[in-house]
Amino acid sequence: MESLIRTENVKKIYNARRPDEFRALEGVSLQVEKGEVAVLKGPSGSGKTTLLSLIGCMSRPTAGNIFVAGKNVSKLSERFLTRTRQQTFGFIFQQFNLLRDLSVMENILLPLYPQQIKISEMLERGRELLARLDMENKQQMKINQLSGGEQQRVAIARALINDPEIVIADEPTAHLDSKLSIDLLGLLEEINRMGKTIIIATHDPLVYEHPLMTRTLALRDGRLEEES
Amino acid sequence: MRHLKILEYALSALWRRKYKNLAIVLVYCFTIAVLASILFLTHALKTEATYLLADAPELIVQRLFAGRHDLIPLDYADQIGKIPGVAEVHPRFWGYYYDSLTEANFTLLETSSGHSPLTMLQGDLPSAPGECAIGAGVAKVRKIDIGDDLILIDSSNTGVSLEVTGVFSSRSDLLTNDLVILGREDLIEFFGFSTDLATDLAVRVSNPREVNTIAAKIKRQWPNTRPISRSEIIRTYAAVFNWRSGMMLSVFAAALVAFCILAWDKATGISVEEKREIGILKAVGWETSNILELKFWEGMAISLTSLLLGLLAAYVHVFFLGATLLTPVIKGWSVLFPTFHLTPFIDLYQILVIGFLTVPPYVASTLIPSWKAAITDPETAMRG
Repeated sequence: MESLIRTENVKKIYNARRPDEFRALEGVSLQVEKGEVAVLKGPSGSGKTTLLSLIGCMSRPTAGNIFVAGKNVSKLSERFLTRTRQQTFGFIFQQFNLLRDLSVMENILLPLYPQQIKISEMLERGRELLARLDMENKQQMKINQLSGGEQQRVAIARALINDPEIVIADEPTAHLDSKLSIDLLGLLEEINRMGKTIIIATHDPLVYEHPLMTRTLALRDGRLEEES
Repeated sequence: MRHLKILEYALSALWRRKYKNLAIVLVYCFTIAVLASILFLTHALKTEATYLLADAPELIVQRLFAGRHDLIPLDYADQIGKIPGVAEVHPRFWGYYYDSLTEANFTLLETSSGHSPLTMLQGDLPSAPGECAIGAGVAKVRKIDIGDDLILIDSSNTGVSLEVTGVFSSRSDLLTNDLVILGREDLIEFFGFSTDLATDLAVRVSNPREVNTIAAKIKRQWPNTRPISRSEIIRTYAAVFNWRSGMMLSVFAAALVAFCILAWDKATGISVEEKREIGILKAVGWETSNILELKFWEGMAISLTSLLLGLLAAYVHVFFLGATLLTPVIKGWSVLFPTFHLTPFIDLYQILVIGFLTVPPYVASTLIPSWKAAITDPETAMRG
């Protein structure tokens, strides 16, 4: 049976053939099955974020192939790459990447604006998610009025609003204390129970040693070092 | 529905950056207001002049002496009247009067030289000696009305009192604003005209296509005359006002260039925050076309708002405030005093030209940098 995600000898070179050329990934091959919680671990600069952005269709590899649900996305045009990203992935970024001037609800609904969904339905989905994340009463608040943990929850809600099959989280605990990190892992567990496949990039042992993780992939200097 | 939602998002995005956008709207609006004021004023003056001359005789014959306009002998009228094709020759008696009291110039005209489009706002034309009808500008600067006396100083430095019997209105303020109409005898006496002279001759021609031929005949027969056709006067007005507005536009070109630099600066330099926002939108599934649509709505909202406000400001400036900032340059015509209000004349074609010159360049300057950011990988764009 085809894996949900499979990469074949993926390479990514920034500023190729220039003095500042940087080889971020040096031929990474891996696979992630549906329903798994996979963790990419490794020190800073090991290529975790680059690999996540390639898997999440945010950029294209310099060489190699990436298959998502059996479809090779590495050669897709920009438009289809965006479609795949929109329909398949939800992202939780390290810096949260929320729009500070927007309200909680507006941030959550961002992915739905360009879609053919009625505003009433958008709001209903948003309220449902906020209720699940215990943030119902904060929907009109601005992002800069929220704590780090609350901002993280908004980012999670935004990642889930499209009901994606795969959730990608880049260093999700980087800006959280231990208690909030444990809460976050609880949330990810819940998301996984909803049937979502989760891929996390982290160098936080609290995350990669958590029993929730079903697959651990260790990266170093752009190469896959070990897999367990 | 999708487009409406993107429009809604665009408007809320503009509101979020309200101070920056307000500054752009103000500069943009000022630029359009100045441009539109020049065009409105020029067009209104040309239209006023056309109205003024619509019922003027096809041909006016002046006598020249030493290259200057001089009074014309009345017997010229009889001889010109014999030229085939001339329907009627009518001597006109009129002159300018400088009113030192109000520092304004009035045009004094005798009743039978009258312009047919004149309509009375109130009262009647003078019918007896010692009476006059005046334009609204004269009434205003002299603070007089029907039944009051208008006192003027004649050529022998004697005060002449004329009873005001009517105040004029017209489609064109320019036509009657500085006018004082009085009986022929009163006017001849006032200026001290010789009885065999008139100011000029108004010639009516049976076939308007023969105007130039008749003018040539008059010029050949009386070389010391200057026949002026109505179309020549209209063309001269248009040329003068076009030249003046062209001069103004040349001066204003510096401001336009400054605005273009601002627009270009905006085009080439999208802020880090905006770039980041585009990256986030792309990352959460917005397509490049969605981003461009968003930026298109933003550009349209800013430029159309500025266009409307600019046009409105120009309209108020030209037609309600008397184009105070531009009048000295474009009117530049001392006999127009006392000041008059222009009748609003708007040409749709002009508005389209102003819109075309300002809206598409701005929208393009909004779209180009956004397009550049939108085709970048979301990951790169998010980093700003």
